[in-house]
This record gives sequence, C-alpha cells and structure tokens, in this order.
Amino acid sequence: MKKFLFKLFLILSIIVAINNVIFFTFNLPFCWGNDIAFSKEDFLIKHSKDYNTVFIGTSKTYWQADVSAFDSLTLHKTKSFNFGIDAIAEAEILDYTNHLVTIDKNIKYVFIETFDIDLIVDHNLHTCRQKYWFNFNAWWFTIKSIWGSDYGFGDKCRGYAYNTITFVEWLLKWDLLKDVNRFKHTPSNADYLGNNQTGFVALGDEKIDFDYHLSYRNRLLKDTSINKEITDASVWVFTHYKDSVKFNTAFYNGLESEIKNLQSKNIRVFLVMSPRTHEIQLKNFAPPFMEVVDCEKINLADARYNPEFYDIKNAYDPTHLNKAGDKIYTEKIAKAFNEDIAKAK
Amino acid sequence: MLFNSLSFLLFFPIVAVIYFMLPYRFRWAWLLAASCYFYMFFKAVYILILFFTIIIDYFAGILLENETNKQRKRWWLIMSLIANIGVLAVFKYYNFLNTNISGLSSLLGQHVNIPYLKILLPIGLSFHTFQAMSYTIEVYRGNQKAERHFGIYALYVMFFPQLVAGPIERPQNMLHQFYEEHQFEYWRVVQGLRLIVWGMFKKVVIADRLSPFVDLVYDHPHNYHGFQVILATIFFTFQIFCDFSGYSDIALGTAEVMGFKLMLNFNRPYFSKSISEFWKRWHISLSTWFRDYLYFPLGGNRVSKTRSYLNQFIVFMISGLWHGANWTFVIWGTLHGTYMIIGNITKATRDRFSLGIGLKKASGLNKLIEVSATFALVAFAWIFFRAANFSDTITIIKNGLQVSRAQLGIYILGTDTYNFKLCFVFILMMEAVHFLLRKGDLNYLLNKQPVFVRWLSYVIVLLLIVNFGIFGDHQFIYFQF
Repeated sequence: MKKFLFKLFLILSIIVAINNVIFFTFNLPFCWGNDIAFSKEDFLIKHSKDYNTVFIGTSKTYWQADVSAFDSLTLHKTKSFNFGIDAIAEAEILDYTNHLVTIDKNIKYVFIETFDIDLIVDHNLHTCRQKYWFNFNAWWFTIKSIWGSDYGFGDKCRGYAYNTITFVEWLLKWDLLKDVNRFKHTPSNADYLGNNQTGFVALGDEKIDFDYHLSYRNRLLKDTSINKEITDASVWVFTHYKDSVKFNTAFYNGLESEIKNLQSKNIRVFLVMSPRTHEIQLKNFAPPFMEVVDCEKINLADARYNPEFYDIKNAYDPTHLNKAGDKIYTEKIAKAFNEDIAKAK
Repeated sequence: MLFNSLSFLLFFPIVAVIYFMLPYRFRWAWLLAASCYFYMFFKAVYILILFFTIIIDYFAGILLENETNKQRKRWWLIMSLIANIGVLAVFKYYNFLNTNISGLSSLLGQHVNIPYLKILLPIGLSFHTFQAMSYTIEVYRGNQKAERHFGIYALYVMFFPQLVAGPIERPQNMLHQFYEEHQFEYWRVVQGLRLIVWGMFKKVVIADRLSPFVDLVYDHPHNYHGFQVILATIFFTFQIFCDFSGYSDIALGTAEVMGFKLMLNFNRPYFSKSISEFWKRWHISLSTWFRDYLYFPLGGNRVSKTRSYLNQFIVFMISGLWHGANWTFVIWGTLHGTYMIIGNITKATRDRFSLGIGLKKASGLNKLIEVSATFALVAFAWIFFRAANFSDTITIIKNGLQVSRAQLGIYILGTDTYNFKLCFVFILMMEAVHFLLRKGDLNYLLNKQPVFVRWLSYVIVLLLIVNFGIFGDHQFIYFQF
C-alpha cells in the first residue's frame, strides 16, 4: 500500500510539474482567465505611469466608484483607475491588489473593498474564472475564513469541498488548456473600461451583459420588500455585530496582513465597505472590518449612517446603486479621502 | 453516478479503501450499499424496480434448483423470464408498442386510444435485466447453483462497476468472486487503474470531443450534405466506440482494483475483417448472451442453412430492439443480420475472387480492404442507430450522397478548428495504440515495457486527460439502454 501511495503521489507530482512548466511557457498575463480583469490589467500595464490611485473590489466598486468624479473631488492630485471586477470574493481582491502594486509602481493610494469569503457554487465550480488564479494562499485564506465564518454547517462543507476542488484544479491546471486557447484568440475588450476608459461603468451604461443586469434590476422593481430586507440586515448587523455575530479571525488577519504589506511599500490603504449586501455576507466581513485599526476605513454599508444608499431611488438592483447612488457613493469616498489626507498632514 | 464525474472520483477511492479495510465478512454488505448509493444517484426511486427483479429472480433460482419436476421447473423459468421481460416491456417498450398499435389501427380505419405512460426509462435497465435473466437460465440448465445468500445475489445484479452498462456478466463468472477474499495487491490495483485511465481517455478526450460535431449534423440533418454527413458518421463511429468501450474499460478497471475480474467487452472491433468477426469483438458480453440464450436455443447453425440464416436474422433483429424502443434500432439490428447472411452466402465466391486476382497473396492489402469494407458497413449501419427517427435516417442517407468539393473546407462542421484537428489527432493516437495491442491487452503490452516507457505512457495519457478532457458530466451513450 505504501509503495502504491508513494508512486501515486510521484506521478501526480510529475503531472503537476509538467503542466505548470507548460503553462509557464505560455507566458500568460496574470489575469488571463477573467476577461474583465485581463482587459483592465492590459490597459493598466500600457498606462502604468498614468495612475497613482487604484480602486480594487467587486461589482460594487466596478459599477459604483466613479473614479473620474473622485479625482475631481479630491484636494490632492489623484489619478485613479477602477479595478472592480464583478463576482469576485475577498481572496481574489487581495490577489489582484498584490499584483497591481507590482505592475504600477506609482500607486500611492489603494482602495480595497471588503467583501464575502466564498462565492463558488454549483454553477461556477470548475470554471476557468474561478480556478485560473486560485493559488495556495487564496485557498488557505478562504478555507480558514470559512472555518471562522457565520455560514451554516452545509455551506461550510460545500465551501471546503468546492474551494479545495478548485485549488486542486489550479494546481494540476486541470482543463485549463482550452481556456488558454480561447484566451489567445480573445483580445482585451475596451467595453469593460467604460466610456472614460477609467475602468468604471455605471449600471445602465454597460455594453456587456446589459440584459442580464436588467433582469436583476427587475427583481427589485417587482418586489420592493427586498429593499427593506437589505436595509434591516444592515441595521441589525451593525447594531449587534459585537455580541451576536461570530468574529472571523482568519478574515481579519488576512486584511491586517495585506494592509501591512501595502504600507511597507509606502502605499496608503483605504478599506471600503460598500452598501446593499446580503445579511450572511455582511455578517462575515463587517465585524473584521470594524476591528481593523491600522488604516483608514470607509464604512458605507451601515444603513444607520448611510440611509441614502438604502433608499430605493438610489438603487439600480437589489445590491447595487444607480447613477444617482454612484454619485453619492463616490462623493463620500472622496470626502473620507480628503479628511484622511488632511489628518495625516 | 457517472464514471467521468467528480462524484465518482471521490466515491470510488472511498469505496475501495473502506472495502480493503473491512473484515472479509462485511465486504459484500459494503459493496451492496455502495452499489445502491451509486444507482440511487441517478434517480433513487428506480432502485425499487431493481429490488423487484432481484427478489423475483432470487426466489426463482431457489425454486428452480429445488424443483425436480421438469414441467414445473420449466414453468418457474418462464414465470421468472416473464417478470423480467415484463419490467422491460413496461418501462422500455410500452410506449413504443402503444404508438405502433395506434398507428396501425388508424391505418386500418380504427381509432385505438391507449394511454401514454409518462415514465423515464430506468438507467441501465436492459443490462441488469439481462444479467438477472442469465442467472435463472443458468440455474435452470444446471450450470449454476442457486445462490442462497440474498445479499450476494443482490450484489451480483447490482455490482456498481457493471450495473448500468455492463459487461453483462454470467453467474458462473461473478458469483464465486463475491465469496473470495481479495487482498490489496499492488500489481492488480495498478492494472485496474491503467484500464480506468485508458477508458477515461477514450471517453473524455475522444468521445465527448466528437459529440458536438456529430450532434450538429444529426440534430439538424436537413442542413448538412455530402462530406459533412460522411464525416459526422465516421466521427459517430468512433464516438460510440470510445464512449462504450471507455465505459467498459473503466468498469473492468474499477472491478479489478477491488479484485474482481469482469469479462472483456471490446477487442479492437474496428480492426475486424468481417461483420461476423466484428460481432466477436464488439459488445462481447451482449453478443455472447444472445448466442447462448437465443441463437443456440433456436438451433444455432446445427440446422439447415436457411434456418440458420433465419436464426441469425431473428437474433440481430431482437438485438436491435434490445438497444432501444425505436424502429431505427430494429433496422440497425436487421441490417447487421443481413450483412451477416450476405457475408456467409458470398464468402466462397469472394474468396475465389480474391484468389483469382492475386489479392490473397498480398495479405496486407487484402486485410486492409477487408477491414476498410467492414468499417464502412458498420459505419453505415450506425446512421440508423444515431438518427433520431426513420425520416431523419432517410434524410441523412440522401444528403450524404450529395457530395461536392465545396464541403471539403476545414470549417465544414462548425468553426471550432482547434477541436476539429484534435479529434483527428486523438483518433489516430488511439488507433495506433490499438495496433500495438494486436498481440495482447493493455496490461500485457505495458507489463512488457521497461519502467521508463510505462511511466512515460502514464504521464502522457494523464496529461492528455487533464489538458484535453471534456468535463461536465456527459452521459455515456449506452446508459439510455
């Protein structure tokens, strides 16, 4: 049995080694497996000297942080790029952050959105978008964070299984060759960068997936009780997070370590918590966010202090803002930024 | 549960490890539980049908053995066969029969309205029903003792590696193996894994890659002509082989890892020099089943030539019907029966002709012609097997005859040239391996090689699976039967 297991391990190691060498020779860009991320990365590489500020996060950053407006509102010279990508979890946000600061050495300010731990479900398991980047650090951070999360038993089990499968697939480069082939024939798409080529796209202006987003918007229009649910969830979590919500130490440690890493490179970090999030997600990342002390935090998720984001007139769909909401969102971030810089001086 | 699914990748190692860890006396129960879980993964409720036939055949076996009166013994067998065929009739053939009766009655000016049954065909029904039937027939014939251990008998029918698509085993080969104590043996596990990997290569790298091209033409037969149809048919010829023999290899390998030896189901069928040889190499467990339980009882070839041909014709027609409740399958079977009969009738003349033109002396060329002709005949018959209905079959054949140079472009079947080229490369690769396997099976060939060559083969095939496999729970074609 020992001989068998040893040989099995050996052959798997050979496969991993060969496949990783093969992939290395392709000389793929960092974000090759995600069309949006690749288009933005490609643009940023070509204009790396132009920007000193970057916003990194999920769709909430992508579709809400109007960086041109932000630059016009800041009292300090900022030139910002929006590196928001929809449907990504915190591990991916942190992974991209580490990468971006290496390709653009001029970056002085980073706005990192805090978001959920695990987004791998049945329909996106085995997809290139999930596995192409899912390295050991991402897997380990996710697994630890799931362990410390407020998820139910079933969701935790699914999380461990799906994330581990995804990590093994990344390790083996399982079924990724066809995606490399697709990538080689897919140029970066400027439509993902928005009208101003800043990476920001307001919902309603997007040229890709417009109908899909519209159908999500219709859910809010048809059933406005979703709005109340989301508002109540925010109020409840921020009122009770200290006593009734499990504190996710692994998630907190991950954030702290990332902040320290960026600060060691003389980058000023701003943690942003965006509004309109589902209760289970908010429970996972709000308490660690609230406890982080080493950087400026911009809490836009608390409905008690940001009621305008929970007003249906500023919402595009259940979890995103419309253009009016984007304006307020960006203004609030700019205000916090100005205050922080002033305080630092 | 599909062999090419992630679930099976987790299920099988767990089952095998626990199997070897368990004391011998509990192993049958573990395998039975695992087999139930495996089957219930598809549609849980259908396990009741399996239990129904298992219970009937278990008691039928004991009654057949205990019965001394030949007449009554015969009746017990008939009742058991009726029960088994009855289940098949209800779930597989009821609606087919119903449609045909309605059609026939309306032709005769009558209106017969038989209610349509809205049921799904239980997966692998034809396979385990035939396996169960072989048990009662063998007990009746006195070739097999009735199994008294209900669990072991249930395991004989339900053993998960061959439960849903064979090989259709015989009790003489299987039942005693469930009483044997299998230890973990390195060489055997390695041999089993080799078969699994090779089967997986055929399924996920070749069959599932060919599938979209075949589906494109056969799902829209009016849109494609000439070379497109010919190519899709050739692709289907390889797809069905890779799909089914891939499944069989995985089944044999899975069983072998745990110490069980299943019968060989495929032996390089596309290298056959005649249709009769093809049927000795294709789906061997089914063709020998029909030979032993239908062809021989009908008289086999120990009767007049005409009667023998008629027997062959009947067997192939029923074999076609076994595959599916559709006239296209019946025609497919009948066509093979016709091939066989014509082949037998013309054999002497063909041999004389070959000898006359000196082809017999050029044995290589002669073989190539024979293999190619057999392949072409088999491929043509697959049209009936793959087409959705009779009218599509006619369209495909008609359109296939309209050949023009314009259809020769590389984009003839969709625009995915990358996959298109890969299909050819992998088919050639597989056939090259098949050529090397002419003197023995995969394990025989690999065992003769030095370590470096063995490991190189493992690494290459595994890399091809990892990098070129089509994943996404694609069903095996034969599961529908």
